[in-house]
This record gives sequence, structure tokens and C-alpha cells, in this order.
Amino acid sequence: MNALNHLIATATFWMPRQASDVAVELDNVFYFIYYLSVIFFVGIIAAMVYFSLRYRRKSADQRTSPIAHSNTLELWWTAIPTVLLAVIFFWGFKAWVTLNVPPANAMEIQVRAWKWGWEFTYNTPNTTFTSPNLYVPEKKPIKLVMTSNDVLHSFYLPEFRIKRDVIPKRSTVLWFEARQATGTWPEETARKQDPKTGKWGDVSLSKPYNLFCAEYCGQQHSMMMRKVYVLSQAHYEKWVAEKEKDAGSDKPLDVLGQELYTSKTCNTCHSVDGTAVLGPSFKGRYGAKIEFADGTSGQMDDDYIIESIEYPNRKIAKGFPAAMPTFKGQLDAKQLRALVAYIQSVNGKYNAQKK
Amino acid sequence: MTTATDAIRPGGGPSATGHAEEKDYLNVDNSIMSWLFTLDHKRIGLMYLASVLFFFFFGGVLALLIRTELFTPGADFLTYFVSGKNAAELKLAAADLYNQLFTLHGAIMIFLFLIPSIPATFGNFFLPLMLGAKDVAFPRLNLFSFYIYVLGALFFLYTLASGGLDTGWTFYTPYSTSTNTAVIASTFGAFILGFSSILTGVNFVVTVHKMRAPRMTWTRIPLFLWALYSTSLIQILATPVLAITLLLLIFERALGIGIFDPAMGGDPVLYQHFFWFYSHPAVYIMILPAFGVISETISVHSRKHIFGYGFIAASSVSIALIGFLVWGHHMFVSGQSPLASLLFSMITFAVAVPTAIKVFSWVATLYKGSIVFNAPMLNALSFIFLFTIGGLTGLFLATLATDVHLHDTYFVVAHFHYVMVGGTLVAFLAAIHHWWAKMFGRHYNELCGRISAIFVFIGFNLTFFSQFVMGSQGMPRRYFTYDQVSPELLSIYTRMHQISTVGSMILGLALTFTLFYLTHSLFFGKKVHNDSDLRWTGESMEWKAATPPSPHNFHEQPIAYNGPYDFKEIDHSLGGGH
Repeated sequence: MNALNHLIATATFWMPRQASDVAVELDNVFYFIYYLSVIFFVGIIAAMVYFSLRYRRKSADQRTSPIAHSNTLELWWTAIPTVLLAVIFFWGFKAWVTLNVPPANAMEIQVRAWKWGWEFTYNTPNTTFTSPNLYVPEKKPIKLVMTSNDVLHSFYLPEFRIKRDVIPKRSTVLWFEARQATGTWPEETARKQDPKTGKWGDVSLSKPYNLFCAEYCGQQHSMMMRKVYVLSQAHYEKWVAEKEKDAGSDKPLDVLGQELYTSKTCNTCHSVDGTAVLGPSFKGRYGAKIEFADGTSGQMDDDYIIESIEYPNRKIAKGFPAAMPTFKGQLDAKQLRALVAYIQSVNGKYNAQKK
Repeated sequence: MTTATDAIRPGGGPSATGHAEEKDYLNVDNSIMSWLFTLDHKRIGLMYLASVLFFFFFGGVLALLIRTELFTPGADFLTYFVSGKNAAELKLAAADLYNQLFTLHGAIMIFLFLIPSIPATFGNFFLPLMLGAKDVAFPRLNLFSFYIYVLGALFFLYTLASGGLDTGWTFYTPYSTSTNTAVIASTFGAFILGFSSILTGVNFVVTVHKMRAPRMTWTRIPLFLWALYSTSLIQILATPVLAITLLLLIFERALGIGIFDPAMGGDPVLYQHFFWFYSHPAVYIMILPAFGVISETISVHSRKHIFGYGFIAASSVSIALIGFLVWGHHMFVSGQSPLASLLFSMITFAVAVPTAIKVFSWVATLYKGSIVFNAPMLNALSFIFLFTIGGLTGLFLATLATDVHLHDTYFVVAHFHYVMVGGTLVAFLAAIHHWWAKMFGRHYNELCGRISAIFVFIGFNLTFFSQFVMGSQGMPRRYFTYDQVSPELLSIYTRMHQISTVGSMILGLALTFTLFYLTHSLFFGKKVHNDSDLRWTGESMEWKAATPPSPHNFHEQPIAYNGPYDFKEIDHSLGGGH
């Protein structure tokens, strides 16, 4: 089983690893077209090179053939490609039907994309939780229901050979089934740094797949990459249990805020060390007077933070572009308070007692 | 070389010998005004030639900047051109610059180079000559469309000065309605350019219908003109749709009317339908004239009647018509209905058949010919090699299942560069060498021409074949960096990007070299004193005009006694395949 696993996990010159059965079917279509193309290409070029050399001009008055057409030849080279193209079309269509019809028993995960990040929402019988990377159990059909907050994005897993645009105010559906687990533990659990040696734990346990955004979406389009972890059923359940515990737990607000700071990708534009990136840093501004782009000013307090998260373009800090997308409707009241708490803590002004 | 004077048939215009003192279209009047207000299709063709070459080299420099950045996975080269207080700021500023570079590269190459490239230059110059006509049907309209082109191009350049455009040449909504860059100016530029394209198309269609020389039946029209005729039909029928689409986009941005933006109740996928309804046929605007050039060069330089004239002519028209019904193959993963995708895939395969027939016919034309490996012929053979790869890789993208994986990856980038650069640009090079002496009355250096053809071929393949590999391995297009991918993909992407970048440098040098020796030959090239100095001639009408042609092309009305491919080397005693 291990040898087989290794075999199918191996990438070829043309294609990355095959992470699903659909990938195998699709690669068969790919290689069918590929070998047909190679045969036709070699035939055409061989004929071209042979004729060019065989009939190259040896004397200025070299005679040439009066052949101007041949019905037989033209009929054949119309008919044969037509038949072959029909075969390619039907095979490609058949594989595509599989790609498009999610099985009825598929497990549903909600996908949300924005400039520039992804979020996966899991609804379990007990609770709802989110994750910035995609964790799935092996050999289980997964159905993704996807939407975008702002512009077009495209959900692309090269190892699974699937792709679908993610569109604002609409939902698109995609499904896949991972063949087998690529590691025993999810990275975020297994990959613990040893505080003494500074070395990372058993990283080889987990070999994630790539998630790309394939539809151009502006500045950080190429930095919208995330990971897909395929886990055994048992490990997946453990991961879910851990996430459920986190979601239900009464963890300190500033810690929850710190998690949101990363998972909602605030960190791509707002630093916590005082350096300005695309937006102002969270450090050193809390409680301070802020100059706005329209010439007015105000204090950076809790209300301003929440207002800016929900309506980023109302009061734009002077010297920064109006580039922030709205997060209205994506954060509940507790999460908003958590982000405020985190910004307070970054500035040393968070008082845990206050709640 | 055969004596070209023999090739001049009765009624084909006087030979240059009797008119040695006569002024040609170039030296008839040297004032600037005589160029700016010229109604001569040949001069207008040359003004287009100078303009499109300028934009081609501008777009090419942008391409080299892009390739240099991609040599390494992270943000490197472009960070030297931007300012920022720290590494993170530099990286984001460089990402913005990268997005502007690839947008301008695409927009300039498509709208300012590829669409006008062959039709507006060689089409303008040779369409009347090949028909045996004095000029196009509407010379003033012809000059007008040149100035519309200049105006549209200026709008495009304005986007550079006004802070850059970063939407990609496709202007996809809702990104294009939400970005702060100069979308309105540049779409308005594309809108204006569309009119230039439409007017040229109208002019060509009327000219082909009404101004053919006596006895030039529809089956005696050179294939280059069949190609231009088909192209003109597309320009007339498809371009208005682009104009409407871009106008709607401008309305949405300027007036806030919700058409495509979902936040205002619009539909972003509708935009893609509108856009590709024009832009897919536009692909044929770019490639059909190239097919025509190849039909001419292959037959002239193998001294053989083109194989399957009827099939090639019919395939140009059928590609033009079927080309209107395949736009949805750009949208297999966009969320359009599966039934629509199914039909679009099927019709796309239907376009592949006439295209394959053309390639087979060109190769069959070589059979028992008298083939010479000069610069135009090397470029034409290079075209067959590259276009065949471009065409065959199109099959992977027309197939529903494989397109899902390959869509929006470098595989697509490689595919359309094989068609647009390996196809159209190489055909453009074949055309420029094929007709250079006839156009300017001077010879380019043949050795330089051959070296250029070979190095363009090598540089091109290195640049773009590597992109097929990284694309099928998943590398998405329009990526500024690729350093976040998993290690096994990172090593493939890096290696392939490096091969591609090295190849692009070779390609850039080869094309610069070409520009250099061609320009040099304008002033120092060996003069063509009379038609017997020409290294080759053809049997189509343009070869019967003086070299360079006189201002009104022919001194007396030429008559098409024979077809354009009835070379005198053809030995009718050999028997044919009839």
C-alpha cells in the first residue's frame, strides 16, 4: 500500500501529484490528447523537413509539380481529424460531468474569498468554526460552496485538478475527494517548535497541497496562497474536536483577537510593530489623535476601530489609500470586541478584567 | 535567380527599365505634409508600420521587465524601481508595478500591435496592389482610420502618465469598476481604436468587391486577400460589441449604473460574455492575416501552386464565421451554465478542423517544389512549426475536463503566445522580408535575415515551451511572486521561469537585431534598379508594379490573365494529382 501510495503521489514531467481519483481520470484525457498531438506534430514536421530538404532548390530553373489539390487527400485529412476531435470532445465531456456533479453524501464546507485571503467555515452538529487553511478527511467527498466578498477570485487546487471562479453575491459549487491522507497530523498541531533548540517538530508527517487564487484580483493576487491538508478520518475528528473546543471555549479576548488578526488577514496590511504597510500599524495609535484624509480628525478608540472594520471608507487615515475591504457581516459582536482587545493589547492598554 | 522581367505579363504594367527617371511613391514628394495628409494607401501602410513597430518594441521592453522579475520566486528586480520604507512596503509597491506592467504589455500588444499589425500595414500596402487597383475604395477614410488609431494610442499612453492601469487587458469586472487606476481613459482608448479597426474593415471589403482588376475572378484572388477579407468581416461585425461593452463599463464607473457590478445589482459574468463575444473573434483578426501571409510566402518560395486553394480560402471564411460562436470556451470555470460550456466546447472543436486543413495544405505545397531557405521562407517554416504547437495545445484548452485544470495557468499563456507570437509575429517577419525590396526598393542583408529567423525561433521556444510545463504543473498566470508554493512545485516553477527568462532575452536581442539591419538597409541596402534585381518575384499583381511602386501603382490597368500561383517553373508535363 505504501509503494502504491508513493507511485500515485509522484509527479510527472507534465503534471503535479494526483491527489484524487478525478485527477487520474483527467490526466488520462490529458495524456490521450498529448500523445495524439505528439504523433500529429512529429508527422507534420517530419513531412515539412523532408520536403524542404528533398526538394530544395538545386538550380535556378528547377521544375516543380503542377499538383494543386487532391480530393482524396483533402477528404482524408478532413475526416480523420474530425473523428479524433470528436473522441477527445466526448472523453473530455465525460470526465467533466464527474467534475461537476457532487455526490449526494458530500460533506459541505463554506468558502469565502476576499482581497486577499480565504476562510473555510465548518458547520458541525455542535458548533460552527472557521479555519484559514482547508482541512479535509481522506476518501470522503467534500462539497465547497463558495462566494466572494469583493471581486472575482478563483479556487484552484492543482494537485486535485479542480478550479472554479468565486463570484461576489453568488455562490458557486465545487467538489473533490482526496485519495489518502498525506500525513498523520495537521501541521498546526504537529508542527511545534522546540523552545530549547528552536527546531521544528516532525514536519514530514504532513505534506499539504497547494491552494491558489487563479483569477487576477489585484495587488496581492499571488500572495493568496493557502494549504490543503488531507487527514485520516481519526485525525480529522481530533482536529475538529480541537477546533470545536477553541470555538466554544472562553479563551481570553485578546488571544481570540490575535487569531482573527491572522485568519482574517488583517496582518497583510496592518503591522503590530509600528511599521506602516498598506494601512497604518496597530501599534502606537490606540488612543492617539488620527488625521483623516478629508482634513478632519478624531481619536482612535473602540468605536473607531469597529466602524473602520465595518465601513473602512468612512474615515480614512491620512496618507493611506482607501484599499480596505469591508468585513461587515463576517464578524460577530464577540469577534469585533476581540479585535479591539487585541489592538489594545498591542498598545499595552488591554485590561483583561474589563471584559 | 530567374529573370524577373520575363514574369511580367502583357498588360501587367511597363517594366521599370523604360521609366528609370520616374518618381516612385516614396520620393514623389518629400515634405512632411505630403506624408501626414497622404491619401496613398502605401504611405498610410508605412505610417502604420512605423507606429505598430514602435508599440511592439515598447510592449516588448515591458515583457522583458516582467520576465526579469520572474527569474526568482520572490520580489526582487522590480523593488529597485519603487520606493518604500521597509521590505513589506517595497514588496507591495513592486506588486502594483508588476500588475501595471503585465496589463500594459497585454493591452499594448493586443490593441496597438496585434490587431492592426498585418492588416493595417501589409494589408493597406498590398491589398490594392494585389487586386490591380489604384488605391483602396475610400482613401480619405483610410487616412482617417490611421488618425483614429493614433488618437486611441494616445489615450493608452495617457494611462501610463496618469498612474497606470492594473486590470489586465481583459478589464474584468468588478475589479475594473473598483480599482483606482485609469480604467476610463484606457477603455475609451480601446473604444476609439475599435473605430479604426471597423473603418479599415469596411474599406477592405468594399475594395475587394468593387476594385478587382479585369478577369480577376474570386478564385484568382491571392489567399492573402481572402484572409484579409475574412478578417475585415470580423472587424465589422464584432468590434461594435466591444465598443458597447466598454461604453457600458464607462457608464458603470462614471455614473454608477449597475450593469456588471454585483454590489449595484449587476452581473460580472455578463461582462465576460460581452467581452469574449468580441475578443474571441479578435483572436482571428490577429491570426487570419498571418495565415494569408504564409500561403503567399510558402508558394512563392517553393515556386508551386498553393495546395488546396479552395479549401484554404473557404477555411478562412468558415473560421471567421464559426469563430463568432466559441467565445464561451474562455468561461468554462466562470460559473456559466454547464449546457453552454458543453456547446461551446463542441463548436470550438469544429474550428480546429479548418485550421488543421490549412497546416496540411501548406506542408503539401512544399511537395515537389523548388524550395529556397531565404529569410521569408525560414520564417514561414518556423511559423508552421510554432503554429502547429499553438494549435495542438489549443485542444487541451477546448476539452472541458482538461481546461478546468489548465485555465488561467501559464499553459494558456504559452498557448496564446505560440499562436500570437509564434504565429502572427513570425508571419509578420515573413511578410516584412518577403515584400521588403518591393516596398522600399532596397535589399536587406540576406545572411542577417536568416540569422534573425533562427534566433527568433530558438529564443521563442525557450521562452514559451517552458511555460507549457510550469502551466500544466499549476503555475497560475498574472503572479508577481511564486515563493509561497510547496517545495516540489517551487523547484519546477523556478527552473522553468529561469529557462523562460533566458529565452526571452535571446528573443529580445534577435528582434532588436532584426530592427537594426532592416533600418540599416533602408539607407545603405543594395538598390533595386529594375525588377531583374529582385531576388524573387511572384505571379500576383503586386509583383507587376514597379519597384518601389509608383504613386498610382500601375501605369495602365493590369489584367489578371492567370492565377496568383501559376509560376512558370511549374512543369505541366509532370502530371498532377487531379
